[in-house]
Amino acid sequence: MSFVSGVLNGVDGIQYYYIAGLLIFITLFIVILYRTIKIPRKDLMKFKASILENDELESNEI
Amino acid sequence: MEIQQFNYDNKTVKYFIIATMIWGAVALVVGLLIASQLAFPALNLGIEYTTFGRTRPLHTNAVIFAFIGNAMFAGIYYSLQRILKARLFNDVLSKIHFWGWQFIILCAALTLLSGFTTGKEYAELEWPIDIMIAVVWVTFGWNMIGTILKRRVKHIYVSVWWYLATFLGVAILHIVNSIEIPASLLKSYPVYAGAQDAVVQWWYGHNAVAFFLTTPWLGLMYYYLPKSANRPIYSYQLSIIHFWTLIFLYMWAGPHHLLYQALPDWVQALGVTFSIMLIAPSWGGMINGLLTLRGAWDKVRDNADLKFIVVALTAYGMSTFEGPMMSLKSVNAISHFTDWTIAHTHIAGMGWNGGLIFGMFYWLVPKLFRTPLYSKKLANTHFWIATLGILMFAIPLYWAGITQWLMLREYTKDGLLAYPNFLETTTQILPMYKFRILGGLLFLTGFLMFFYNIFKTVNAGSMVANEPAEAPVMIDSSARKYGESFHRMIERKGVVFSILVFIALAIGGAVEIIPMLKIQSNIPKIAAVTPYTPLELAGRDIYVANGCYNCHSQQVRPLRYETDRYGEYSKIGEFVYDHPFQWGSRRTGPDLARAGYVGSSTYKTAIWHYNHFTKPLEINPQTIMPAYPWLAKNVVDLSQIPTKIRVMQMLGVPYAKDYDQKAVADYQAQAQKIVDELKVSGVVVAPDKEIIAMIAYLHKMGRDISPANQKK
Repeated sequence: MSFVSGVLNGVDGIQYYYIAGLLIFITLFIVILYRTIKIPRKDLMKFKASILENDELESNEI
Repeated sequence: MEIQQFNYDNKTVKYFIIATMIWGAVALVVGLLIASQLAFPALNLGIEYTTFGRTRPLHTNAVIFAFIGNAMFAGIYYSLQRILKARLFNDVLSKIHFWGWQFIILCAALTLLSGFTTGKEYAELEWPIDIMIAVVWVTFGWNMIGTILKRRVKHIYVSVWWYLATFLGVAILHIVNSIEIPASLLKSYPVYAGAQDAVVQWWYGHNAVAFFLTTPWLGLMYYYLPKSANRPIYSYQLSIIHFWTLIFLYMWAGPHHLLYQALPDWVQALGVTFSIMLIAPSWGGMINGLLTLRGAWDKVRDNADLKFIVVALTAYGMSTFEGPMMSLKSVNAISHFTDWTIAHTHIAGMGWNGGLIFGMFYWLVPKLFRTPLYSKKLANTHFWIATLGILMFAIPLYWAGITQWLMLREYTKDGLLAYPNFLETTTQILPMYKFRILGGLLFLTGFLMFFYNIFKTVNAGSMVANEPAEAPVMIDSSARKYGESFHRMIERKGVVFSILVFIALAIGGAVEIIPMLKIQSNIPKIAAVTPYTPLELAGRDIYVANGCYNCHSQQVRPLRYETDRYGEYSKIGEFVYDHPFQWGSRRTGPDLARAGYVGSSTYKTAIWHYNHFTKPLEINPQTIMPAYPWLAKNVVDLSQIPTKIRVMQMLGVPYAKDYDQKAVADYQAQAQKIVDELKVSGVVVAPDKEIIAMIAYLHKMGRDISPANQKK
């Protein structure tokens, strides 16, 4: 893998990238959590029940 | 609004169900065999094809890829079509997928028993089979994504997200971990070495657990549990949160397999931290499943399929709490290399995966064949026997693991090891191994009941190969609607969703692996450590081919009771030429990292090794190590030596230029020295026998850092 090492030789501070990854995760987690909580209840009920429905011929436009 | 008529493909589902049953029986029988081989080593039969080092990888591969894999495809293909209201994308792809997968399994069985292996756990299959796996996996993904694209529902139900993550996750893992240079048709060397190979391998290994044994099964749980209980899943919001969290976090947890080992601290710390964090999304799945049954527990009482799903979720919760606890360094110091790890994996494998397979099939097969289950009583009996079997399997192993650790770390009042001979600890836990066989036998008995019940149900019913269905045509409304959340929008857009999943998956591996590959300060070199000689390299290949790593480790941890027993703890720079790494994950026998360090407890002479390989019971009457008489008979193919040297050079091992031209001569010269040494003890053996190469390899381990070598 020396060619990989060679390509990345000039990348300073690469050992700190995991901190950046962690911060990205925490940020995204908070955003996803907030927006998920805000989803309307009726939509959630619809999707939960979708696999239990009989083959009813109704519009599937969401 | 237009109603479209189409057919669901049930035939492919049926084929995968049949394959699951057949390979499941094989996998469990082999499991029973290897459990028995540990307790009764005569069952190794003295034949190279049936020795534990080869049969154990056969069991793990058969369970994971043949039994669980085929069941996963059956479950996915049935549910995918009905969730998306679309037939599988392409019948030819379905056939290639099915027959290709079975062919891979057959190749795996033949090659593993023949000793063609990479020596990396759950990735043992050699490069031609790796290519086949990639082709068949792409076929599966193509078929699945094609079905998603031609769906008749706009919203993609949660199960399909998990299936997509499975496809993408396994693709990334398989490709990255399988980068290897072939030396011959059935022999290759990974591009990674030592600690780098260890990080990549256990990033793969742990995430094989994640993306083959967890994510597709969570997806299947999200379909089959509501269908069995006829109740919607408890919380859709929870499913969104724990999906993204789980697929992101899992990819970071791999280093928890390498704690206290020759790996930089920052990598170990990442593995521990993210493993603990993983409890949350894992339990999110368990909670969502169990609470789905809120108010419907009476149904569990009467239905074996729901019983199995409940046990599966419980086992999942147990394993996903136990795993993070075992990721704590203080706990890992106890559990690693012991049977505690085996108990943990089997609670998960038998409980979670096995339970879900049985629960799913007990619901699916009657549905598919349009007939009631042949015998509910038999199914319920299976449930109790399987559950008891899991307990009788795991509890003895917990006992064995703790017992062995307590003995290994025990000191006398004079400050010496109380049990300096590793074999004393193995002998102590043999009764637990025998008891564990009963657990396995119970589980197999339950499986045979399941097999019979499903067989009779199939025979009593009739399946419609192309099941008619109809659904409204999908109205194209891809633009984001007013007030619609971002996640709701991407749930409708399969490609966007997949790209985001890929990014989430890639980050964890990238931040752990890229620095390990790039930063030289992560891998301090040791000047005294030299590449393997041609003879030692051949010996290493024989060590890998016979699966010695299944019982022996090569990694002395910096714990006092290990350094007192084996010698100096292992340094990262010792392994820079190890393609693949062979640190091992289980000590059924002692660690071998100092087997070449003169004066260490594991250093033995050539004649000792010769006798121990050919007649281990004469050296140690209580040993459970099988005999390897074929090593004294099989001949090393010397014509392959120059090729192996050239491949190593390509991988960066600093052999001299054109060294491949004199490699065979060096091989023979070094082999002759060992032959002469054995002759003094009355053993006559030709220099090209495998056993000479093995002795040379064992005498290499730890030698470079030993005082004897420094003096030279």
